[in-house]
Amino acid sequence: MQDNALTVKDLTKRYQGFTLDHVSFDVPRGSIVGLIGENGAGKSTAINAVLGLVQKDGGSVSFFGRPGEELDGAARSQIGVVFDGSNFPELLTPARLNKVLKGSYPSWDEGKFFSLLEQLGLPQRKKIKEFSKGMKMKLSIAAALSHQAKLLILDEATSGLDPVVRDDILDLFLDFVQEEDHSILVSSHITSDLEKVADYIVFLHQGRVVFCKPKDELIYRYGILRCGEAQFQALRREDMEAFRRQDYQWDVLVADREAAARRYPKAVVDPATIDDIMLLYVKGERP
Amino acid sequence: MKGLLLKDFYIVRSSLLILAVTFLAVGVALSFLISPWALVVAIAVIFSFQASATVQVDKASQWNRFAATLPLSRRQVISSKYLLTAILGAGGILLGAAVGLVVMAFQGQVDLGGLTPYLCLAVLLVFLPSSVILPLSFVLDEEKSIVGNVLAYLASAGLFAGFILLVRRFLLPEGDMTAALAAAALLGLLAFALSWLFCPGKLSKRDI
Repeated sequence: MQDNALTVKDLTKRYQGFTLDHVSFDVPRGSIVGLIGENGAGKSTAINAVLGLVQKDGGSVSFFGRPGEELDGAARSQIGVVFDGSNFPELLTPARLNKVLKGSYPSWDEGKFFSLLEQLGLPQRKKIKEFSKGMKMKLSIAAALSHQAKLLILDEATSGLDPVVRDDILDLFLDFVQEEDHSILVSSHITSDLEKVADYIVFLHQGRVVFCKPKDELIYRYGILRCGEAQFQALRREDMEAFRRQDYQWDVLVADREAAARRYPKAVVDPATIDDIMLLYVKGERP
Repeated sequence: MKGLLLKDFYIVRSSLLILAVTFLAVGVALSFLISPWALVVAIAVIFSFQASATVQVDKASQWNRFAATLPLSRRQVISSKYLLTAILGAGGILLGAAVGLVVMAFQGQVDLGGLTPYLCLAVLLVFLPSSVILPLSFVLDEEKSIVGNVLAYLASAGLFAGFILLVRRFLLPEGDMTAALAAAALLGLLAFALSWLFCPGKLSKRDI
């Protein structure tokens, strides 16, 4: 069995003023991969290129070990997609949407769709235009989960939603990956959501992959070393991932906070959140 | 493709109902001034126009992006709009003919022979502008698309008038115009078929 649900290799897309530059990452089966980065980093471009919504200028995309271009209808049914905001015409009701998607997906599971609607508290006969943003997102996710998808691709699925709805959605993700061959690629700039559910983090900055690492490595090993000027000058460059000067101190991102604490006992080394790591990479300097 | 057509049917259904009732009322009133068969042209054109309107609805709701991830090729997704145009155009012609017939029966003078020119004009005005409007609606935003639609209908009407004048003046000054009208309708069908054949492939390679 192929180990990766999705393999992206050297994916390149050029626009005037922005290039998605040789982006590579995998989504292993049974895992949740979070794609993070500031606005304009290339997350949506990467997802659009993966899905074939924009023509790539280079690189390759494989789903379940097969090139994206060669996917037949049955294989495409195994990919569930959710975009930011509503995906469906607002004149439809969920009941009518069910009929539309039943006629579009050979593997559509009507029973599952209606049971998800009930579970998520979505009315069947209300027009989508009367739904809140959270309800629209839940509807999109319910649809994506109702055609026996094995890979979910979600672009900013939790942005603009309140914490309660976001938590409901994250629970759905976790339920989905209980099946060992189910996987999720989710882009978000709300890194706290990804800290809760992701197994791997792919960090994009200015169209390039800065790192692609297991989340636990980032949370449990990375740290921020805080020190004064003199101590900063004495730090070994190879111990630094990125650094940034604050008002009265230097913040230095280190890849192994315990080793850094041992080597520099006078410095304070705090655990780093994904936000901290992202901020230092984006706004800080590299050694 | 069944799901795509059903989705479009749900979108156009409410406006089609309103249009059908409006045309019924207006048609009865107008039938005292012009031939009731003119309704065939008006209803068919308005109905078929709804197909390109659904393209803009798809863009506004992001359905176009979602549809590109369905287990269908993008070419099939685009082709479904051509099929919808043909269905709506044919439906409009049938409805227009039915209403025209009812109005004529009400007036007590059914003239089936008078239907032919209107039928030809309807076919031309449904299919010739649609061969341009449909691909444009995928490429242009809503405002520019409306301008494109108006221009396409004007050009088609002008082309039809020019064609008929040409035939009447040089080819069949005294003869039966039915053949010329049928040729014009076939021209519309041919343009639509060519557009359907070539445009979906090209459009499917565009970034969404």
